[in-house]
Amino acid sequence: MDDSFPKEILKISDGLKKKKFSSVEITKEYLGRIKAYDREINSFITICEESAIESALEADNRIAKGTAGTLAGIPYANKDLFCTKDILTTCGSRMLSNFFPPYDAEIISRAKENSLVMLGKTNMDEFAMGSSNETSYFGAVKNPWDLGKVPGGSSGGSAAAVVANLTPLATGTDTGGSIRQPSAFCGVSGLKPTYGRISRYGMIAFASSLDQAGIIGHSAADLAFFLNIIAGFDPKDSTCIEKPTEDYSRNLNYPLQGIKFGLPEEFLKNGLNSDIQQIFVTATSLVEKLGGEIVDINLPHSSLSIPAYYVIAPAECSSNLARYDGIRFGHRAPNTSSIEELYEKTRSEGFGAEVKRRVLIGTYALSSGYYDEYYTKAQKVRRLIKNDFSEAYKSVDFILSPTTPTTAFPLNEKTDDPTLMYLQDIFTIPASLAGLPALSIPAGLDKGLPVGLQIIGNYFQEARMLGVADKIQQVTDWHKLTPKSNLEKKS
Amino acid sequence: MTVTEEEIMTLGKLSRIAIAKEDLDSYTKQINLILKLVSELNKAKTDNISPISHPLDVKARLRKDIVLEDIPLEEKQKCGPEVENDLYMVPRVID
Repeated sequence: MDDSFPKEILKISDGLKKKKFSSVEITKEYLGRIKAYDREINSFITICEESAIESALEADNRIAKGTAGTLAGIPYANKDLFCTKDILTTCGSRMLSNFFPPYDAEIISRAKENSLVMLGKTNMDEFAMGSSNETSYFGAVKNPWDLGKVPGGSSGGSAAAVVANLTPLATGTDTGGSIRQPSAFCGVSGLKPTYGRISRYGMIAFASSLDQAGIIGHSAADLAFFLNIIAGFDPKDSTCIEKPTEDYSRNLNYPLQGIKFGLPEEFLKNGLNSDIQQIFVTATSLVEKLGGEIVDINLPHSSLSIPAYYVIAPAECSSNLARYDGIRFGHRAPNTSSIEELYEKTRSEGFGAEVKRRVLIGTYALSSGYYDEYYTKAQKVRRLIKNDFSEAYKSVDFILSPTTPTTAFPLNEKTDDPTLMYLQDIFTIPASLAGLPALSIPAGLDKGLPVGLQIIGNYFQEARMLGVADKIQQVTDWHKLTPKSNLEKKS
Repeated sequence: MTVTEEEIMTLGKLSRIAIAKEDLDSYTKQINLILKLVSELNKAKTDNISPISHPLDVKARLRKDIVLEDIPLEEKQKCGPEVENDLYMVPRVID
C-alpha cells in the first residue's frame, strides 16, 4: 500500500480530519488492493465498489462540515453473515446465494450512522460452521502467509483480508472460536465480546445461545474504537444485555502491575505443539516483565467443552436452519411435485456436507428419547464449565492461553474426519460456552506462520482486556508482522 | 451409542434433507465419530446441576404484544423464489 496511507484506525481518522487524504482516496486505494490481491486469497464474496465510493463521498462531506464521528470515512468489511439491505448476503452458502435482505443488521446500521465505508462482504465457512474456511460454497480462503494453508474459520475471510491489508477492519462472528482462531492463524487481533454485548439482530443465526458478533483488526486499540460504535443494548435482540456501555478505549496502555493472569493447567499439558508452547512461554514471560503476576489455575471440566459444544451447537443449528425451506427466501429446487419433495431437494441442494452433518446430529440430539441424554446433559456440563471459570476469577483477573493448538494447517488436510477439525477449537470453546469475552492477539511466528495469544476476561471486562492487549502491543511488534513479501511475489 | 444407515435415513427424513445413497456410508461413519466424541459427556457428574440456556442466566425479555413497524410485505416478498398476488407459491398440497 502507498505509504501515505496509514493502517491504524486513529491515524487514518487523523489523516482524514487533517485533509491529508480523503475517504474517497483511501477507499479507492483499498478497492484497488482487493482487485490486485484477492483473486488469489478469495477473502471477499462481494465487493461493493459503487456503494463504497458513495459512502466515502458522504463521509467526506460530513468531515468537511465537522459533523463526523471518530471513525467517519474509515473503510471496513463485513462478514457475509450480517444482513445488508439490498446487498447480497450469502452466509457462505448456496442456500442464500441469491439473498438480498430487505433490512440491515443492527451493527451495520450503527456503522452507517457513524459513516464507516463498507468495502464488501467477506468469505466464511458455510453458515459459520467450520474452522478452515473450506466449507464455503464460494471456495476456500487462502492464508496470506502461505497460500497452501487455511486461514482458519469461520471468519477466515475477514482475518485474511485484514492481514493482507485489503481492509483495516472487519466484522466477524464467534460461536466456538470463529473470530479468535482465524485471527491467530492470520496474525491479527480478534475480539469476541461478552455474550449479549453486541446485538445479534440481522446476524444469520447458527447457534443462538453461543453466537456473538465481534471484530478483527490490526491492533487491540483498533478493536476498542470500533467496539465503541457497535456495542450496546438493542431491544430487537431478546438476548442482548441491558447494560450501559463504556468507553472501550479508556484503558489502553493499561499498566499490568498487580494484575493476576491465570494459566490453565489443563490447556497446557496435552497435545500442544512444543513450538507453540515455547512462544506462549515467551509471551507469559513478557507479561511478568511488565509487572503481571502469573498464577497456575485449573479449569477441571474444560476437556468436556468440545463434546458439550458438539451437542449444543448442532442442536441449535438444526432448529435455526429449519427456516430454509425454499419458500420465502433463498434457494429453491426446481421441478418438484410435492411440498415434501420441495423441502428435501431444496435443503439437500442448498446445504453443504458439514451443515448437513450438523443438522442431522442436532436432529438426533433433540429427538424424543435422546433429548435428556444429549442436550440436557450438555447444558449441565456447560454449567460446570461456567462454574470453573467463576472459581478461577476469584483468584485471577485474566486467563492466558495459546489461541490454537497448532499454526495454520494445509488446505484439504482435515476434511475426512470432522472431529479432527473440531479439536482446533479446544482452547476457544470453553469461553464461548461460558459466554465470556476473549480475544486473540499475535504472539510471534512459528516457522513463518503466526501464533495467537488468547486473553479471556471476566464478564464485561472488554475495556480492561483490550487495555492489557494494547499494553503488550505497545512493547512488541508481533501485531505489525505482515505477509507482504508473500503477496508481492504472487501478484 | 452408534447410529445405523437406516437411522441416518430417518434423521434425513425428520430434518427434510434428502440423503443420496452414495453419501450414506460416509455420513454414517462421520456421525458415529462425532457421537463417539460426544459420549465423553457421560464422564461428567451432573447430579443436582441445573442446565444453562443463556450463558449469563438472563431470562428472555418479553415485550407487549402489539404490532410494531415492520418491513413492508412487498420488500419481503422480493426475496421469495415464487410469489403471486402477495402469496408465496408452493406445489399443490391438497388434491
